[in-house]
Amino acid sequence: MQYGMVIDLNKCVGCHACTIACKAEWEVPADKGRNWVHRLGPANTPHGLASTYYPGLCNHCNEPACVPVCPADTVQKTFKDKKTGKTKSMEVAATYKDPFNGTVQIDKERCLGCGACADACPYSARYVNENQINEEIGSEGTADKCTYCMPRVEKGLEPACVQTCLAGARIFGDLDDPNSAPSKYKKDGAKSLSSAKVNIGSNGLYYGNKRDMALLTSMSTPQEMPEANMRRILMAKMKPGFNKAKKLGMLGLVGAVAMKGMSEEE
Amino acid sequence: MSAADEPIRLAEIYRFLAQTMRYPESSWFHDDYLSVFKEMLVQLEWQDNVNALPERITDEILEEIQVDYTRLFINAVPHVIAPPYASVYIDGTLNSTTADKTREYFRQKGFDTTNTEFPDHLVTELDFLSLLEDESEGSSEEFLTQYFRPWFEMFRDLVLKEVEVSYIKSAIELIDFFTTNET
Amino acid sequence: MAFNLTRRKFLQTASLAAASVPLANVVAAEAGVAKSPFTPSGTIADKTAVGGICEMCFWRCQLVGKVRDNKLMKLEGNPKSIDNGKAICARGNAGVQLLYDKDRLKYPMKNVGKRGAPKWKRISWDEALDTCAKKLKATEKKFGAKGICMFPHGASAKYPMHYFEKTVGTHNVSEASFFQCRGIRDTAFVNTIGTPPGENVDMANAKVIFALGGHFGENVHVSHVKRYLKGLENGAKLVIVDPRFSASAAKADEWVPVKPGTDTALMLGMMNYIIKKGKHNKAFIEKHGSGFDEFKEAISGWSIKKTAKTCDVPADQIKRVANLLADNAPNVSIHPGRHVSWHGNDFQRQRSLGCMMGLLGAMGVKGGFVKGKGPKGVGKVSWPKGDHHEEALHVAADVHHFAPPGTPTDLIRDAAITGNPYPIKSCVIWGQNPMQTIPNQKKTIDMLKQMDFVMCVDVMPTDITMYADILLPEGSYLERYDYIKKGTQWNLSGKQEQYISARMPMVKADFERKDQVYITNEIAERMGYGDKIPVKTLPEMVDKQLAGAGLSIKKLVAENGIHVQPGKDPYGVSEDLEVIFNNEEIGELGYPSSPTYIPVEEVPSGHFRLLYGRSPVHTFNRSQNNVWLHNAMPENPVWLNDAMAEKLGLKDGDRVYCVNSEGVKSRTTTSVKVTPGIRKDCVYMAHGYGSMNPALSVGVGAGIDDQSLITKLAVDPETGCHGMRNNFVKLVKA
Repeated sequence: MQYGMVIDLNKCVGCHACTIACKAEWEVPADKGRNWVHRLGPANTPHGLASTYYPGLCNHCNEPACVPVCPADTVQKTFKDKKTGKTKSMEVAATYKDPFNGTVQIDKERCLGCGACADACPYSARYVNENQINEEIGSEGTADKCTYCMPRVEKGLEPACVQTCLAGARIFGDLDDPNSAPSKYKKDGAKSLSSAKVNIGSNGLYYGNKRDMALLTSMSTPQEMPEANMRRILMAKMKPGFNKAKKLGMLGLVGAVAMKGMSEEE
Repeated sequence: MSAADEPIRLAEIYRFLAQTMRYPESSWFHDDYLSVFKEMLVQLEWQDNVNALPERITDEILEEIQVDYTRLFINAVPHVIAPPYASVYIDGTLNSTTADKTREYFRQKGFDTTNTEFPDHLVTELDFLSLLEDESEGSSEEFLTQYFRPWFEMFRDLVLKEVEVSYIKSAIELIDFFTTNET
Repeated sequence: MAFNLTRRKFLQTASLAAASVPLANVVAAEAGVAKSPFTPSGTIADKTAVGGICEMCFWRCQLVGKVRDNKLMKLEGNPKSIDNGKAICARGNAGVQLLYDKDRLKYPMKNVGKRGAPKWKRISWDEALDTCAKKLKATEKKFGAKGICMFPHGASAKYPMHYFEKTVGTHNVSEASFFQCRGIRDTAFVNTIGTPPGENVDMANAKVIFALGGHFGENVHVSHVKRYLKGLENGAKLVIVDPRFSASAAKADEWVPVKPGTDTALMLGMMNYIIKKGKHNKAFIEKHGSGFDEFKEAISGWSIKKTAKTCDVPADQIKRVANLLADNAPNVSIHPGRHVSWHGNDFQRQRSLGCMMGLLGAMGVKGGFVKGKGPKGVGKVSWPKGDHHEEALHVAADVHHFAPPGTPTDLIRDAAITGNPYPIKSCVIWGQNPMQTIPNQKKTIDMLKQMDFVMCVDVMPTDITMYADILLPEGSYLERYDYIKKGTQWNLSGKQEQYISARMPMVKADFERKDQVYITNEIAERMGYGDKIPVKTLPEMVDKQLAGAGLSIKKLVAENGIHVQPGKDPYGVSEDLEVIFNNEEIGELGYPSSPTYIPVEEVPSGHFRLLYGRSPVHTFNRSQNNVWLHNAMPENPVWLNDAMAEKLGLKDGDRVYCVNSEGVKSRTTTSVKVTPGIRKDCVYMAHGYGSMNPALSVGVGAGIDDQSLITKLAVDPETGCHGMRNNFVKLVKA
């Protein structure tokens, strides 16, 4: 199962209801957002004058750039398939991709707030809430992003943004199920915002007429993976060391500060 | 006076400080009250503050304080200067996450608010501090450092920058003084 | 300051009798439940409050509230709604932040400073009500009821408005929703098709949707936008006439970038073309038309060539659009518009839209002008009419014969300023902000300055409240009962159903906020009208109204806030429907009897015509201080044609002031949006921005207040409503 979301630009009117509903549902700070709507144009495209929107959110990628860079100590986590009851155990840091529903999630209780994941995301889908400090682990904040509203979805509700969309422009469902609504859109040509260098299996897809898609893809497709590469590699390299440090009782707090210092030097 | 009396006295002071931040009305804001307020400043040897205060509370002086209180803490056009709520400073919005957390802390300690004010209002927090001190000596330190001071300092700076009447200025300085962690 | 004593030392040595203060506000209770401090819980487990009716705008969607610990966490569309359904817009979602806005009015206040430079002092309700009643009574005694004027807006203002209008007896009431918005549309259509049109076009089932200036998507009314989008999904062709490539133009099959102010000419040109081609709906006109021959004659001069020249639109496009409308008739939505007070020639334009409906026979059919058949029985509660014989100002002066209900704003303002024909000395402002709704702010200030008494009732300290002597805090739409919302399912061709709902509080009012029934009754009592009070409380009023339909608040709660019952087919027209193409009555009063284009002032060289419209995240200027909405779109960029930008040396993102042709400069700056999506002779910005930002506020920031630049007044002669698009600006680099 792989949850995904399609935005139908033929329907979207750019009203921003999705962004505000999300703020209310998840108590997102007023100046931050788990999702966004950017207004594009009016501008000329090869297909004529166009004006459309970029309603964006975490794409819960197949190969998420944010997951491997997390420097938090790993723990053994057991995942459960809500449908079959099957379980699977994995070593995960403070952010991970759920092996059953395909969503990318954050373990906020263990997040160090270093911001590596936010830097690594080519879609800028994450932010760090600097007011949310976990004293116990000495965090500098807590990373936050769209969860595809899993706590709601598990209770049979729609994601908050989907529920409030007056246009019915947000189509959510299982992309692994060929009969799901988003899969049908995919068959009809819904596309992710991917480029030669940014091709990490985004599960956020966009559908629209030629001129709107031309405007959206030319203005909103990330062309480069973010600059944080060096740091990400370093962090990934240091991870085993961190695990050892943890076993020796050297806490993540110091590690996080060291990592931060390194990234600032770069 | 023995050291054992201290926490009880601090509780009383928090209670008094809470009172200083209530809307001044003639029913309690009179010459007797003023004399207690001044006495605190005298004991602290804050002579400049004492000198700046009026001799007596007249209708005109009360109105002046009411007007400044309203402007600073209740409403002004286009915006209230320094809303006395933690949420506004921590979250940027009123009655938000910080208010909830504050209420939760009250509950952890066995208290809850019953009035119409939000839990993170300055008066409510000062009242709560006095209750903590009533219960046991020094038990207000955690609340002070984790909840009260982070926002109060921002609030204090705004008020001191904008305040017009000496009474409110002194009240804020008293609160600042009695809530600063001494290490 | 010298801290020469430590706290510890002070506590050890000081000897003062600390005041003992009762601690009434903190009591012991059960310890709270432990929860994860970092993962928000979401609203899934919160208590649901039913019966909410939104008033972030005046479409009034039906809501439920998610309430945790007596605190409103979130608003959602009421899933039982057959109108907006589970959806609400950005503003509706952001109602939580209006409820808890730090700047909201909390207590009654008295201005002990000057009007315009207020010094507020919190006072008791008793003192506030005593003062209001005493002052209003003094005006009434000295100058008669007409010495009191009122500027109401919104659901809460209805009850006090009827008190002042009917029981006290003043005609001097002016609602912005009429005189600065849709009043022209309503009276123009009443005098064309016999009914105010609302926005009742069956777009969901249309073959063509045609709108002048309609920018759905930027202008969001949920069920209305649902109809529009359903129409597009079903394959309707969309024609948007707008100088700007708006949100709707972006979805249109035909974008007609008309020269601003010439829309009436475009309508006449197309109607003349349709008639000349014999494509008008002859059978419909035969049966329902009146004065068609005179009309046909009157518009016969509008050749395609002349129209193209006047409107600066290609002749081919005009023909194409006219044919599109005629070929798809009668299943065509000719949108009547909503905010139509544009140029001071608007009554005629609105008449021309009504005539187009008639010409195509686009009434009572799928896709045409169709009013849903809503539920009957909901009663009215109002104040009794006293024994008054005064005439309204415009009636006495024999002008503006087609004014909407109330009195044209400028007549009230002029009478107040000049004392002629009589003095107006008390002013009641309830939910309206005339500073931003009425053009020419200086005249409004002059009017207020000469008053003996000014009172405001509002939820927020808007600009106008600076001029109040007494300022009263009202419960918001989330904290009170009142408005009865009724109607039908949103898609007129769907399963025929009707609904009745009544506004219910999501949470109780904090601080000392009171509702309109309490405030009005207390004032009425003190003014000697206690025996005329129709209801004692708001819930009583709502229950009385609902009783007519066999309902009550209790029953509605049991039905999750909305009563739904079987409906009636809305299609078809009544036998006696009359479309008055040429209206003799209008002619006899000295106005054109057939729709006529009245040219507007040309743009002076070096200037642009200032156009304004809606932002999807704001309602007028009411929501500027809402922190969620503010962050969604922090400013209103000024749209400038790319070729003109190059000429002026302006780049996208440059910061500019606007200076109008009368020398008025905007107080603030905004960014330039350089785009091919606007004509060369105009600039555009969203309305409702540009309040000043003090040091602390997280609320409003940049952006320009378009209203401050609208200093040249145009008054529509038939209606006395304002036209606000006849102002011209230059852009000056900041």
